[in-house]
Amino acid sequence: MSSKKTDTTFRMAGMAGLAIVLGLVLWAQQESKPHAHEGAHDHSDPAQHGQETAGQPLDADRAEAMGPSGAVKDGVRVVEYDAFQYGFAPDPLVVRAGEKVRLLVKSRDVSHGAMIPEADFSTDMPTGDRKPAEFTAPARSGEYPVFCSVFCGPGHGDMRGRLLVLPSKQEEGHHDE
Amino acid sequence: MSKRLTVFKMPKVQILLLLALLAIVGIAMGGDSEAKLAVLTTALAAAVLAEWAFFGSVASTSLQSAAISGLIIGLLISPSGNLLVAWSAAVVAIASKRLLVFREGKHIFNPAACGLLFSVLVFGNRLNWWGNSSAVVVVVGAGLLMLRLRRFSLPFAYFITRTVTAALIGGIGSLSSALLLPNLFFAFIMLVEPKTSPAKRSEQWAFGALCGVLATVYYRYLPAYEGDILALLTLNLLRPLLALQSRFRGLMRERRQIQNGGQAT
Repeated sequence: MSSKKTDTTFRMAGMAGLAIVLGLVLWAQQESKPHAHEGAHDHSDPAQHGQETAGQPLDADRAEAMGPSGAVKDGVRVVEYDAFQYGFAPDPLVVRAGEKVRLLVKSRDVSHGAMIPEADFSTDMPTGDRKPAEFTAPARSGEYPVFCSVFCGPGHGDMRGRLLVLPSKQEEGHHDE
Repeated sequence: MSKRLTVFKMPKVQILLLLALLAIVGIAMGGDSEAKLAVLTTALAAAVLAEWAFFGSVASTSLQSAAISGLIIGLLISPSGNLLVAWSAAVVAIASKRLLVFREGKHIFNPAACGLLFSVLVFGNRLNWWGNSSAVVVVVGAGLLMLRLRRFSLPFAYFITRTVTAALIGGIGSLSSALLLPNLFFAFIMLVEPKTSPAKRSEQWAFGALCGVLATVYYRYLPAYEGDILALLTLNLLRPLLALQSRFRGLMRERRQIQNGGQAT
């Protein structure tokens, strides 16, 4: 009987402890929220659903100096995008806000992956022939991280690229007005 | 004093020490030290507390197992991510030991791998294996322990097939790059978990080799889902079949011996 009581006590303590840790986690998340997000909650935005948020605002001078990568064909921006141990090229990958992007991906050494949480995009990057993979660029201009999503060796954890999203042409037009 | 020393001879305590050392190296080597500590503490605390919540009063060895699962999760989840990922992965890992069990009561899946797959499916792939900070520490530390526990065939078989299959897919020219591919942390620390991997040497070879092949296939065709972890969980599920096959081979051998004996007489 007493062992049953001890058992229940431990279970209760465990549950209470878990609730406390969860509370702390949620509190920490809440504390960091105003810095990470601004504006309304967007359910289609993976960055607002437990994934890392890293959209950094883009300063106007820098945006002006950078030209978009690749070329636009039939309304789609086509860019040859490479991965290697441990980086991506071109870096940064520069696109315009909201435009459709077709990456022709390829790895220069072993299999890699490219993941852009803010664009809800993930693809593998095999060696050999280029493979097409499409995504729609985030609607907000800024700098977003590109991660390798396939374990590719000891430097995998630090393998990062950058997606630079310039304002869309329409937005630029509005600013000019 | 001698009792204290005996504690350090226990394999689980040694794995815990090894994981702690990897955490120290990982924190010292890269940036984000506060975030790394936060993710590690969250996963560790959640795993130990979940062990109590799901199993009640347990022996210290069970708590050590929970701590190992928690530390593994904390060492693999990206420190720049949300701490909720670490918390939920740790809770799911321990819950899987309670809920997903074979009829004889043994848990089916490697708990840490189960929790991590859950986090990948729910939160997207946020694993960056930051705790895989030193190949030397992993190979020397865990390797010696595996030799002592007679489980070295598992990571060795995995290493060979993972390298060979990756080189075959990437072309023979990529052999040097492919040699870097086998995930040593995974091979020496996760793959060898005694309750969810075979104890017999022949089964260990098959288990490790199949894991290497499957991991390459998964990384190739399901790259968003951490091929190593998926491969391990698949084999955890198929382990009874491996045991069955080995038992069948044993029976056949016995039968042949009996037949030979009959012919001799």
